[in-house]
Order: sequence, then C-alpha cells, then structure tokens
Amino acid sequence: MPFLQEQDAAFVRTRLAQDLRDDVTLEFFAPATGGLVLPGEDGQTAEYARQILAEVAALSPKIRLNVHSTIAEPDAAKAFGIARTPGTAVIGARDFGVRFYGMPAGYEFATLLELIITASQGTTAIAPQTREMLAQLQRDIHLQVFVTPT
Amino acid sequence: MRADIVEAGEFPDLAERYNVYAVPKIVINDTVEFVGAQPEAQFVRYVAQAGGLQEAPPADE
Repeated sequence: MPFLQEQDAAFVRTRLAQDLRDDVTLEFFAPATGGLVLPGEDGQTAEYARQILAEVAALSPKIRLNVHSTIAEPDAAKAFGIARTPGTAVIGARDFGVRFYGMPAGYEFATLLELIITASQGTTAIAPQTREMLAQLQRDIHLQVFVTPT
Repeated sequence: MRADIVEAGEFPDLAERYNVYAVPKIVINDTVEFVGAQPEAQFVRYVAQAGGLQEAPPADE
C-alpha cells in the first residue's frame, strides 16, 4: 500500500521536475534493511520511513536512495554522522550537514521535500547580513529542530 | 553547520532531554533554544548568540 496517493505523487513529481537542479542522494540508515523488519514499533517506523523515501526517490531521476543497515555498516553510519535511526542524510552536490531523524510523514513530508529541493539547489535566499554573520561564527553550529507529524 | 530535523514523537528521550512540549522547537548547540518559526533576522540573532559572536549584527526590523 503506497504512502502517496496518485494525485499527490503526480504533484510531487511535477514539483521536483521544476525545482530540482543538482542530483540528490538520500542516505538512509536503519538497524535492519533488505526486507528484514525488526519486531516492534521501531522496526515498523524504520520500514515506513524507508518506504516514503523510496516513493519520493521514484518520482525524480535526480533523486537516489541508498539504504544502509547500521548493524552491517557501522562505519558508514559514523561517516555520515547518523546519531539515531531511522536517520537520513540529504546530500546535494556536497554534504550540507542536513539530517532527518524519524519518519517523514504527515506535515514532515513537506519538510522532507523542502530539504531535498534546497540541497539540490545548493543555495538559499538568505539575506546578505545573514551570510556575513555566518562567515564570522566562532564555533561550529549544531541546529536541532524538533517537529511532530501531527 | 549541522542541522537535524528530529521527529519528537519517535525519540521521546530527546523530547524529554530538551523539554519539547510545543513544536517546532529549535535548540542550537544545546545552549540556545526557542519555540516557533522566527523571522530570519531573529533566527540569525539566536545563531549568532550560540555561535560565540559578541554582538549580533544589526538586523532589518
């Protein structure tokens, strides 16, 4: 049973065709993959997350989904800085440091789309003053944005 | 700069650790936090604060 209804999939396909520029890779991490779903809620959430990402990736030739198991590939998880699962790195022409943790469902599906498009465009419409401030930062910045799908 | 979007419902330990009751809640470097979408200028002030800048640059009000 697909997550996206046909009309929604068509809308997303059109939007992606219009707004994507560079290719985007979704590096998805969950404990178990390859059709194996661990019992319990966490296993189901990870599988749903993977499915949503797969459906999105199928809607554009510019989006590629790579599915990783943190159990089988602990070094890859570390390399991508995946702190928790399910966790997805959204990578454009380079890694802009954006990660999505959890299932991109409900309102957060729109968030995922925006992350993909932004990573693909490789730039944002932020003010010059903002760019100047960012250049002057003394420390690394770790932003955490807590959201919920409901 | 790293940015994580975190589903609070799926990670209750994080939601508790950062006292997430209303969303969106933004936490920067575990030191600066605020709730709700902000205009860019205000968001910038928070980032500057967390980023060790003595004075945030003047923002367009």
